Order: sequence, then C-alpha cells, then structure tokens
Amino acid sequence: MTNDGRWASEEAQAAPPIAKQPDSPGAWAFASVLALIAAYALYGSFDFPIEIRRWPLGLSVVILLCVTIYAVQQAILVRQSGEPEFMHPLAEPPTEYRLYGTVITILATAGFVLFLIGAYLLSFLLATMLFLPAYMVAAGERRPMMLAGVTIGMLLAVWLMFGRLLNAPVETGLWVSLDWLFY
Amino acid sequence: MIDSYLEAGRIILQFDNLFYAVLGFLVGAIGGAIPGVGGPLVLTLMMPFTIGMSAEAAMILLIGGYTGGQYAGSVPAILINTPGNSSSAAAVFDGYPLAKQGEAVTAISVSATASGIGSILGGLFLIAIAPVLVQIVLLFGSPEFFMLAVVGLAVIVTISRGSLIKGLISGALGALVASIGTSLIRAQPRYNFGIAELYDGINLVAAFIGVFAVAEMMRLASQEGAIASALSTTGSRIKGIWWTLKEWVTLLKSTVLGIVLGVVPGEGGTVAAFVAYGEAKRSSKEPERYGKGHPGGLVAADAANNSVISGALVPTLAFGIPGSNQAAILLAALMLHAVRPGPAMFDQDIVLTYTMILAVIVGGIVTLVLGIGLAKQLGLLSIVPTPILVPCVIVVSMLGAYVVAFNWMLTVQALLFGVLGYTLIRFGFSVVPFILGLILGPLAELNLNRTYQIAGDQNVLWFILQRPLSAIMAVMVVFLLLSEPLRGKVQLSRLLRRGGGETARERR
Repeated sequence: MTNDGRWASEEAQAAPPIAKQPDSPGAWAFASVLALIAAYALYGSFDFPIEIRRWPLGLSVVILLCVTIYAVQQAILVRQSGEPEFMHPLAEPPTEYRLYGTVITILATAGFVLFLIGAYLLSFLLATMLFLPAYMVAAGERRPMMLAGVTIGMLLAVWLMFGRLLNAPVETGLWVSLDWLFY
Repeated sequence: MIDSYLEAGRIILQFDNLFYAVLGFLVGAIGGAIPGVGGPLVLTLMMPFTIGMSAEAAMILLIGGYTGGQYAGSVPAILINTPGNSSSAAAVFDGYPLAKQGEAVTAISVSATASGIGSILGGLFLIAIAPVLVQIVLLFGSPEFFMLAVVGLAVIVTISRGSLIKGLISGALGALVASIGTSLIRAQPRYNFGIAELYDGINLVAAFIGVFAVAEMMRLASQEGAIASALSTTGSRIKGIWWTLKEWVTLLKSTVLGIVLGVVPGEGGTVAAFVAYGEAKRSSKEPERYGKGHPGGLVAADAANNSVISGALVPTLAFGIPGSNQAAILLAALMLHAVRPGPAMFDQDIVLTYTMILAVIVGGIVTLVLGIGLAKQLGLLSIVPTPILVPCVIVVSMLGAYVVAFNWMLTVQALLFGVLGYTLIRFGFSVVPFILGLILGPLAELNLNRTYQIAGDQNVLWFILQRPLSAIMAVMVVFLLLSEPLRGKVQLSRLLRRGGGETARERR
C-alpha cells in the first residue's frame, strides 16, 4: 500500500527490489524485550518437571537464538548501509508509523484503557456513553447529530445485543448500578 | 456417509440455521467492505455471540461471515481502489478501471458471481475429497501430528511477510505464550505469576480480539477522515453475471487454483488471487487489456479468493492446522464449543464436518443472491470515518472479550494482546505466525510428549525420523526454513552486483 492507503499500480509493483535496510532502533529495543522475556521463560522453566519443561525451554532457546541472529543481521546491515557502494533507496516509512502517528496511537490506547477502567467502575453502558462522544470529538468529529446518533445507536446495540441477548451485566459496575434499566 | 450428509443437510436447511447463514454473510460483508476492518476482525467479534449456540449453528454463522468477508473485500477494491482485505488486492487491477469506465455495479456483480460460484465449486470439491481425507487422517499418529504442527509453523513463517527470523521469533513467541496456565500434560501451572485467572491459560477468543481488532484499531486511530469520500454506482447487475459466465474457463481454472493454494497454511487467499490473476492474463487472448478493466482479471481474482475457503478448511478440519487467519478463528470457535479438530472430525463429529462443508455451499449461494443485490449498499460502507469506526469497534471488542466468561481478566488480556499485536506489526514482525503459534503450540507440545512416551528409551528425534511420514515432513521443514535465506542471499548478491556495476560506471 502507498502512504495514502491506496494500492500501488501493477507497474509500480514491478519496480526493482529495494535493498535491505537496518530496522529502526525501536525494533531493536522490541527484539531485546522479547529476548528478556525468553530468558525469563528459560530460567522459569527449570522449576517445572521434565515433561512440561521441554516445550517452553525449547521455545525460549529458539527465541534467544533467533534474536541473536537478528542482532548479527542488523549489525551487518548497519555496516553495509554506511558503505558508498551499497544501494539503499530507502522507502519512506508509512504515514501511520511516523512519530505523530505513534503519539496518536499511544493517546488512543490510553483512551481504550480509560474506557475499560470506566466500564469496570461505572458499567459498560455509562462508560460507552462517555467514551464514544469523547473519542469522536478528540478524533475530529464535530457534527452534533452524528455524535448523538452514533452514541445512542451504540448504547442501544450494547444494551440489546450484549445485555439482552447474551445476558451480560452491562448495566452494573463496581460503583454504579443501573439495574432498573432491565425491569 | 450418505446418512451423515442427509443429517447435515437437514440441519442446514432449518430456518434458524439458514437465518444464521444469511446473518453471518451480512455481518462478514459489512466488515469486509470497510477497508481496515476486514474479514478476520469481524469474524473474531462474531465469535462470542456463538457461545449459546450449538456447534453446528455457530459454524454456519461463522462460515457465512467468512464467505461474506472474502467477497466484500473486493467491493472497496472496485469502488475506491482500496481492497477491504489483502486477499482482495488483485481485484483492484481490473475492478477499479471498470468502475472508472462507469461499470462499478457491473464489476461488483462480476465479483459476486465469481465469488459465489468459486465458493460453491469449492464446497463440492470438499464433498468429493472428504472420503479420501478420512483415510489420510487415519495414517497420522502422535509423531506425525507433532511434525505436522512444526510443518504448519514452518510454512507460515516462510510465506508470511517480513523476514524469516522475525517470523520464527513471532511463531515461537505465540507458542510460548500459549504455554501459560495449567499444563495439559500434568496438572501443574506454568508462568501464571500467582494470578488465579491465568490458571486456565490464555483465552484464544480474547487473544484473537486483541490481535485482530484492538491492534487494528490502534493502527487506524492515527489515520484521519474516511478512506473515501465519493463513490461511483453505475452499471448493470445482469451484464455482470453475463460477463462472468462468458469467462467460464478462467472461472474454473481460478477456482481450482484457489482450492489447491488454500490448502497451504498461511495467506492462501492473497497468493491464490494473484496467481490466478497472473494465469488468467498469461492464457488470455487479449492480455494487453488486463489491468485496464478486463472482466477476466476480476473473475480470476475473486473466484480464487473465495474457493480458498474450501482449501483452507482441509488442513483445519483434518489436522487442526488452520489454512488462513479466518480458518484459525473457526478453529478457536470449534474449541470454544469443545470440539477438537483432527481425526475426531471424521468420526464422532462427522455431521458437524459435513454441516461446515454444506455451509460453504450455502455461503456461495447467499453471495450470489445478496452479493449482487446489495452491490450499491455495501459500497457505502467504504466511507465510514475512522473517528466513528474506532470507538465503536473498541466497545464491541471489549464487550466481546468480557462475555466469553463474564471475566474482566479477558478484557485485560484482549487489550494486552492488542498492544502486543500492534507492536509486532509496527516493528515488522508478522502476527500470522504468532497466532498460529498460539493455536499450534499446545497441539505440538501434547503430541511431542506422547511421542516421548511412545519412543520409550529410544532417541525421540531418531524415532520420529524412522517413521516415513514424519521423515518426509522433517525434510519439508528443513527445506522450507533453508529456502528463504538462500533465495535472499541470491537476491542480495544480484543487487550488490548491480549496485557495484552502477558505482563503477559512475566512477568512469
């Protein structure tokens, strides 16, 4: 896909291959975290009897080995990318993964977490009533009819599909209970 | 066998189940028609709603959703040059030019007819090979099932996007995460950090909701506005059907390609659609018209894309190894209904298996009727703005995870898997091996342990290699894992040679 979300034409797809570039430091950091998790799993596996130790132990070793190979691969690519002979027509990173996009994603995820906390404390219905318009406004939706319509529509859907059809206690939170809605 | 088919036919023709087939198709089509949402996400969100249903009804609903999602992904591809899911990408080449020529509805009609016929023929193929499959499955013991799980992971790691090493890390991580909770082999918890809710292990539904829905919404959150603002809705449905039937050779050839490539675990739909498109263009009398609005290109892409469903069901039902993301979701849904795919699917669960096969055919018929009928309406979904889409999907996702067991821990799991899924995608680690690792991990561990028991004092590796089927699969794993680095090395040396050549010319 191109940066505006559209698919490249057939001719563009037939373009010459782009030389491999080293990954971003973020990817290295993520791989390091995965290696730490694998090391922890490897260490923890020694507490288990042999029958249930083999599998997590083997997997942890595979992850650690692969991260090591990945690190070597990246080191070679970093070295090669510095050489003048090495062609590296670096493609621009996709729009959604630039810094601005990452910040927005983090903020949106924080919003999802707040919704979940709200649902736990205030009930799913109240949390939905607060989260939907708040998110839409924050994301740039300004039409009052749209905000009201989507919120009411979703509240009805939550109440009907989850509350009535699946008998989920969508009206009950730790602090608030809207039991009367069901009677 | 005939009795089982008659029983399956009776089940699927019940009013409730026909309603589920249509409902599933509609919900799947709605998701498939919204770029960025796609079939797997919607199928995941449908899963919690199947809890109160019988396994048969659940599968009819979900296969309806699978069929709807596969077909509808082509609608935005035709209308706005953006496929609803990756397997519909090949529909862009001739679908969008047709829409630009004022034949948008005709093109959607071609897509629906080819998709519907592809699904129906695929279902008929499954009926034909079912007796053979039973015999093949019976040849498999624990060592073979262990090796098959390893082959499944190796295939997916090899053909999924991104580097082989990252794919291996992703797959192993999925299998490692699946080992959290009480072991299947010995009732002892592993890696549960003293959290009581983790004694039961990772919930697959919550994990799928996280990886497919939450992660995708996290990605979409940074996009502004709608994906498209205006649509072309001119053309003729009848003309579309006629154009498709005129391309009957392409239709049949692409259906066969879709079925065959669908059997290979991984992204069968995308590969099948592109291969079928390439073959249609190669064998056409007017290849120069391909890419400029030739109905044959669209027929090839969509027939292959939908017949993949039947191909993907073969390893899913017979061995418990999903042939696609959607098949992985079907597998998780089967487990949710206490059905374990594998040999039992052709023994005590045979009626369920045949119901699933017939559901594919019903899905194809529904695609023909509703796909053509709702051509214009589905197109409108392409213009849903992301500020509205994202919070609505998040609310449904969190509730979907919660209702699996009315347990808050599952919503937390979904959110955490969402963050993990997003991070994997963000840093170029494919999530497909991760998902497959989650599913195949316990299967592989269980069969490995049984193999150890059967092998007794013998070396387990030697024991596995002594069995012909296992040995063949071991060779396949080695070949698969070595083929990619070797191919990469050849490409890199070619690139460096060319780079070196150009630098030398510049110096001169």
